Amino acid sequence: MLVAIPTLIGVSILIFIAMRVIPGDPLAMIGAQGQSTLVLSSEEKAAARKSLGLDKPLYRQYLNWMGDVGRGDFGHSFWSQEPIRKQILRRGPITAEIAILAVVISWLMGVPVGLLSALRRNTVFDHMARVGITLFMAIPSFWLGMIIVLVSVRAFVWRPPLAITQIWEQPAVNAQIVIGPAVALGVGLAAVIARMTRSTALDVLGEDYVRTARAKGLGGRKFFLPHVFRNTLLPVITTSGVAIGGLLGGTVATETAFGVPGLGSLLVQSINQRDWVMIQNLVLLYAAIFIAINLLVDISYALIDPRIRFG
Amino acid sequence: MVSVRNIASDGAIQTRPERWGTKVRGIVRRFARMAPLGAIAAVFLLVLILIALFAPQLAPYDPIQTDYAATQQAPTRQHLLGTDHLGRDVLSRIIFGARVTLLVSLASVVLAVAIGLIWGVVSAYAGNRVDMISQRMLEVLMSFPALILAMLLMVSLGSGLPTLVIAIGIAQVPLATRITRSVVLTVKERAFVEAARCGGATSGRIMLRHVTPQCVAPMLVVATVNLGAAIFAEAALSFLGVGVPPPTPSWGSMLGGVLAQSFNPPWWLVLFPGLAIASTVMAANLFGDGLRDFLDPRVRQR
Repeated sequence: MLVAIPTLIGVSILIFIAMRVIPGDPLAMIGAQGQSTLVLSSEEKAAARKSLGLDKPLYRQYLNWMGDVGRGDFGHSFWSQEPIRKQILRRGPITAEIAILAVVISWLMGVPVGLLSALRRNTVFDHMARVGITLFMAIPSFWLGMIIVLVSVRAFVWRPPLAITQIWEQPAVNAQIVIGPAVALGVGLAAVIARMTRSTALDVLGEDYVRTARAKGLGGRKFFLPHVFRNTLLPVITTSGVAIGGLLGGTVATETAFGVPGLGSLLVQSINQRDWVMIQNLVLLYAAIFIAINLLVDISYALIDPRIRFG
Repeated sequence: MVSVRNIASDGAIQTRPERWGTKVRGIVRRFARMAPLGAIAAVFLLVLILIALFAPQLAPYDPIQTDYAATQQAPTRQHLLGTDHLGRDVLSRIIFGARVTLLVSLASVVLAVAIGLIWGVVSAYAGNRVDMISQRMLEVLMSFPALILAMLLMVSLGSGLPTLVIAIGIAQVPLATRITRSVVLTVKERAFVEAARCGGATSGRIMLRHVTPQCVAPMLVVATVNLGAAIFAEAALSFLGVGVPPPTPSWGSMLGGVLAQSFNPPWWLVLFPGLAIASTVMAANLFGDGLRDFLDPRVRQR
């Protein structure tokens, strides 16, 4: 658990170097890219630099940032002056819902398809499943998202709502926002999980203890659950942990495709506006979440596999 | 030099060096037999490379030439895949877009493998402190979701073709380094390394001449397996507007540009660039799987 803290510090240093040290002056970055129409006069620049603490030496700037983050204060957006904390709290739940729902969808689809495909190896079902897996592994989630929007607009004259609606406010409207991106992301992840489940299940089915169990005359549920299912699950969970990194990145593009007001579209928007305070905090947040998920994956091993114990 | 023996008509045994062409043909034939899907995918990728190379000859129109008399036209005989909101020919843009996709993905994969190879060999061979520090650095890199790390690097380094290659390449370095390291850790205990050391070879020479060649085959697999991910990353970054700057056509930015125009875009502007991305990613994945089966039959997928 404690290993995560030095990693997180390393992550924050890398972000700091990428955002402040390489581009030099973050304020110069704003005008230089030609992305914004805003031109600051030199007095305005000096004032902004002072209020943002950019006149201090780099190590002080870094320590100030870390101190703020430690207190749960992410500073203010450079453009709207709105506290970034507020933005994260408002948009975060939407992205979290999408990601969790996508993982649920991918497990509900991927694990049964992978297991059945392995148990009924070289049947029509197996061949169809493998074609589907190859296909959905190659389809980018943001393109699938665009197609879902296109079809729903044309066929049902419906498009996902654009305003932020939380699940505790209006569950029905919230579901309309979340379901599309979750499906678009979930299907791709399902293909990855089905592929992993299939190859692991085939390995497990070839093991000696499975042959022994079959020789003892075990069949059906008694054979399947303890012998095959549990042993297949472990590598599949590992894959999920790694794949969730892809999922977190994928939410950015997929949210943009649907126009969903989540953290991902906030990141894209702040990149376009060169809102560097926002960018560095959001990237840190994404990395922290990814580290936390990988920790959870490690812990879940011990719960599923009695052979693994944490010393 | 490998040589084959030929028995001439008079019974004399002649030796002639085997030509490169025959050798390559043999490898290709074995690959096609072992991984037929991978071979088909390889042909697809080769055709795509040819299309990219001869894009100016193949494309019916200039990909960045706007034509306000023919905006947002559905596919017709003049414009086989239609035109976009500025009247640019979609087919021509897809043909030229293959250049960006292939250039960026191939270059970034080569960059990732090159850095990973050097980093992994040095880290594993040096061991101790160096290895521990480099492992911690890798953990930091791996704590970012790949696409987020690439986006951060694009913001930091500024947009453009070289920075895109660097951003996607660095996001793939951890995997290449980890695999190289694990190969080196087993190789450096082997007898031939010890023999070389007894023979007085320096560490640098052992790393270069004895250890690194053992990592080539695994790196080839890593490179092809990563190729699909690199194509996807380029498409996603360009889609989000942090990839290749306009007006250079790229499949991802074609989709992103459509989104910027309206939420109810014409179907041909959504369908065709996406199909190009998906089919190329699929070909890269299948080729990677095939190559892995071919080079390492033990982990062969059933």
